[in-house]
Amino acid sequence: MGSNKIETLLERYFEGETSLEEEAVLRKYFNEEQNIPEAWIPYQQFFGYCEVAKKETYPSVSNRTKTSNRSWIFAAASIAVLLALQVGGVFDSKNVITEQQQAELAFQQFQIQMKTVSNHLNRGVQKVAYLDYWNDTTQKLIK
Amino acid sequence: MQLTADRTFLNDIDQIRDKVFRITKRILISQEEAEDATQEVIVKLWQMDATKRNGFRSIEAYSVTMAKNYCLDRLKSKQAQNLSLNEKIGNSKMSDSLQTKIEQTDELNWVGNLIDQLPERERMIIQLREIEQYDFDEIASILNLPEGTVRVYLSRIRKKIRKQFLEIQNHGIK
Repeated sequence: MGSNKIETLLERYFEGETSLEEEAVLRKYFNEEQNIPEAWIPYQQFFGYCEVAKKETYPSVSNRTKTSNRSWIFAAASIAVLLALQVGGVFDSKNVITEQQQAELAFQQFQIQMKTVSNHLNRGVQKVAYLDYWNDTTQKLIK
Repeated sequence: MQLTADRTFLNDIDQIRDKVFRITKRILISQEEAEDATQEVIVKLWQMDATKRNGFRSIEAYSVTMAKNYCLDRLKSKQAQNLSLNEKIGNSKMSDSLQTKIEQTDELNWVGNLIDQLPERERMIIQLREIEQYDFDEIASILNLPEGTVRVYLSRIRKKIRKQFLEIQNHGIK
């Protein structure tokens, strides 16, 4: 298949003028030809995709039942785990702390700690004030 | 007599089912939604009176039209629930199986993603022409559009896809 003919076909293809038979020629060319000009690689990918997409089938019945069986087992397992947690008291409603409650708790603790830090700092400042006082007096004495 | 009619119908159904599944998946994008839509179409076909069924020129074209209408209704009711298109695509991707995730890394699949990002009418036309390879008059009757319009649309979509391909190629992003 000469690339000239393909080029003309492509031009008409993009104008929506090609027939199904002509498009079959294009498909055959892009899916079978080994040396495709680099500029045409995107077309090859496009036609290649169409070829693959054409073969997709409805998921088979056996596949479906298999997955449904598996999901049943998952459901049973999760119920068992929940029951075990309930019995162990892990899932006790008192122990369930929501994220917001946790955040609030953390904020309160942070506030308390910051207050302590600030108290200590203030005490430090008071001591420094004494130092100032002492300094003043020594200055007076030296004079 | 009824049995043989049912048997030929069953034979037809197998091919129609795959085709309907591919088309509904293209419109709805989600795998699960497409499976439901396909079931719906098959059940409707099955419940239909056999004489009425045999009266159609092409049971396949009829099923595809039915599938298309069903999908558009689904999309419309989704929009009524204030679900945006992006959300829909996002959800379908979230719920997709591991297999689909693997497929997305597949080189060919980014072509599919590109098609899936087109508006639904354009997705439908691409699917019907490039993948199912329907004639212009068949596409026109399925979509209830004049043949000339289908050609114009198709030309526009093909050019649009080409443009996007070239952009991707030039930026080297996949």
